[in-house]
Amino acid sequence: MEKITEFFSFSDTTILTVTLGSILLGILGSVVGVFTYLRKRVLIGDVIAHSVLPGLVLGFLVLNEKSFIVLLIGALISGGLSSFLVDYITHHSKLKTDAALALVLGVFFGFGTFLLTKLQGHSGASQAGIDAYLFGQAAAIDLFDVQVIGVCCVLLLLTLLIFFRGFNILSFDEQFAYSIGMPTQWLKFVLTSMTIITVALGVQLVGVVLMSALLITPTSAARFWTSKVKIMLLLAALFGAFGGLSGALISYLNYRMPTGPWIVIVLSFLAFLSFVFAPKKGVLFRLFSNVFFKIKIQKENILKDLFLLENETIEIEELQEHQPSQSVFNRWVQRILVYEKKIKKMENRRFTLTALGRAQGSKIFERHKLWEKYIGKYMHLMRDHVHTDAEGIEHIIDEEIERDLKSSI
Amino acid sequence: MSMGIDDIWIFACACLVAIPCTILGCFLVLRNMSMIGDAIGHAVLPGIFCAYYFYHSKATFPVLIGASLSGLAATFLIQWIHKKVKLQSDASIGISYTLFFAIGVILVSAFGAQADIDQDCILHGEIAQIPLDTLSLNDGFSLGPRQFWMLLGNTLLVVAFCLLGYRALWSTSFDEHFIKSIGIGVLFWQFSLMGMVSLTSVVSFESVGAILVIVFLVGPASTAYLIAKQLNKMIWWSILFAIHACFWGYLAAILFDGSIAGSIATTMGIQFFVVFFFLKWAQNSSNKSLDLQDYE
Repeated sequence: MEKITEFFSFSDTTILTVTLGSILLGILGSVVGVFTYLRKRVLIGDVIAHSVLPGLVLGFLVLNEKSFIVLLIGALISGGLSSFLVDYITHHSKLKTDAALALVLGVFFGFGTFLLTKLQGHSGASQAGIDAYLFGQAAAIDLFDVQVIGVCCVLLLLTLLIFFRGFNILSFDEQFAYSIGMPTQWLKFVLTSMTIITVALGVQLVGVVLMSALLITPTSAARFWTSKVKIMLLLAALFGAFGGLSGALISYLNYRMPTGPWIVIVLSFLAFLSFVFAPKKGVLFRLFSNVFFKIKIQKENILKDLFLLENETIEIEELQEHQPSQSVFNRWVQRILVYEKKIKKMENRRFTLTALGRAQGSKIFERHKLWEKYIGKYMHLMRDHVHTDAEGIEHIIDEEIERDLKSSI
Repeated sequence: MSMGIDDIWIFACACLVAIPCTILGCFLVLRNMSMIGDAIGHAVLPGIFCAYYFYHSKATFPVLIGASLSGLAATFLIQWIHKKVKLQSDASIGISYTLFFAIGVILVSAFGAQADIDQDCILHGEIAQIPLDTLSLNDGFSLGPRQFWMLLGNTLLVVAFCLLGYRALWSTSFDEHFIKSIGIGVLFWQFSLMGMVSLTSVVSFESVGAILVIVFLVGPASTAYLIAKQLNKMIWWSILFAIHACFWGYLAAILFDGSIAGSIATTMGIQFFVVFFFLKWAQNSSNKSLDLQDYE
């Protein structure tokens, strides 16, 4: 507890820089990730992240100093080369995209490890600096790095703001964007460059292998809460920032815990929460809405059948014969209907409609007839041919569709 | 530069990593599942760590099975996120493998010292140290490196798997829906294939690390895919390419004194691009000669 308050007081500049760096990169990664996600180019971020390794090491080997800027430039070059190669291979051979991605990713990474052993061979003292880029070492971030990250962050977010409309249209319909005269090639180039810059900035924090999580995970989580790009951007940035903050906090609380992987775990946790609990798209919601819909159909079927046997009572067995579904489920639905005062229970397991239930039953029957008529009129089908179709559609027709159907007949 | 018996052992081991990988890789490339192979390569890490931590040895049977299961678990997670959560497939791959890998890295950096495993080992394996760990009979007769026998066993297993399931694997790679309709279990073969990829990644981990397995899987296989038009020819070509790359890669590693796995991976990449550009050049020149004939 003490350590947590100590952490949030930010008395130590190291804590401040690490936390600030993590939050900024979390925001940047998720915001740039939104567009790669929407364009279904998520894994190219993954490839770029693995591929910056040889660039980093070469930058170090050539200039022999661990300057953030030099490493950044090396990373930009090899990241750019890798994304170009993936495109080139897929366009000029029969190899599929995913094989090209895997190949470029692996080969660049392999070349990087080869160079890395060379580096470890001849200058053992400073190798620690490079090792940090493999699995991430947030503690290595200093004030200057945070300044660079901050400036890049502002510039990239500004670019995003300026090109927002273009990126938006490009992500949803590239053909359309091209047809209205947008410079799609140029826009794509800007987006890829933004991804490469983000990756190059971020590898110091979470490492080359896990960098893609920063692009993918918060975005996927945000996608489950909204369908609007602007809100998605905000949400993703929020998730990214939260992940960055928690990662920094956890590694502060226990010095053996690496920041980068913990950011990834927190983000994944958020993502899985979203997958399960998000409204509309979440697994639970879809499960429940499925069950509710089934109950609704069963209710309406019971009401309709009772209506058909109007003014008479019907036995449960008879009803089940009519409705070949699970009897336990059926009994549950009957209980709900009794509770809603739409049907009344009589002696020896018989049911009868109440006024409310009769009104609803007649309504459903009417819709069934309406659909049969409509199809009969426009498709010239016999009534007995469209009965099964109407049996299904009657549950979906609402007031509005009913009005339209009536007017068209 | 002098070649000794150790070099032969290392080269043999590199080939025995590359051959099963590339056989399985052919199917991955054909099924557009290369990135899932990559995800499995990353995802075996937590399993391998647990194995090192609890058994303190690397090559016992339960360890292999346990570690392969973590790779298979990643496959199931990817499938679940894609099918049930309805996330686009590339994002579900990205999320799953980074989660598994992050767990692995945290375990290694927190408890790695107790389990005799470190971050370097994840990165490029220890193929150079294979000859140090030998297997010997009771009377002291040396049978060669322990890892060699394990890799040989895995190679035989993969070859047996592919021979037994060749028809099914062949047919499910090309027309999934047709095969489903005649009643071959597509899912069964898919998951057995993933299981074999997982097991092979685990066995290869010690030699080439967790990340470079992907090059061994798809490198020679993609090269072969460029030139072969039949599956069996593709497999033979890919084995040839794999051994070829291992040879030159190992030679380069000795020459430049660098990581052997990294150098073999680089060679596989160079090999791909040589074939790629050669084919492009051949195609262009044949097009040109055709044009001339037409003209005349």
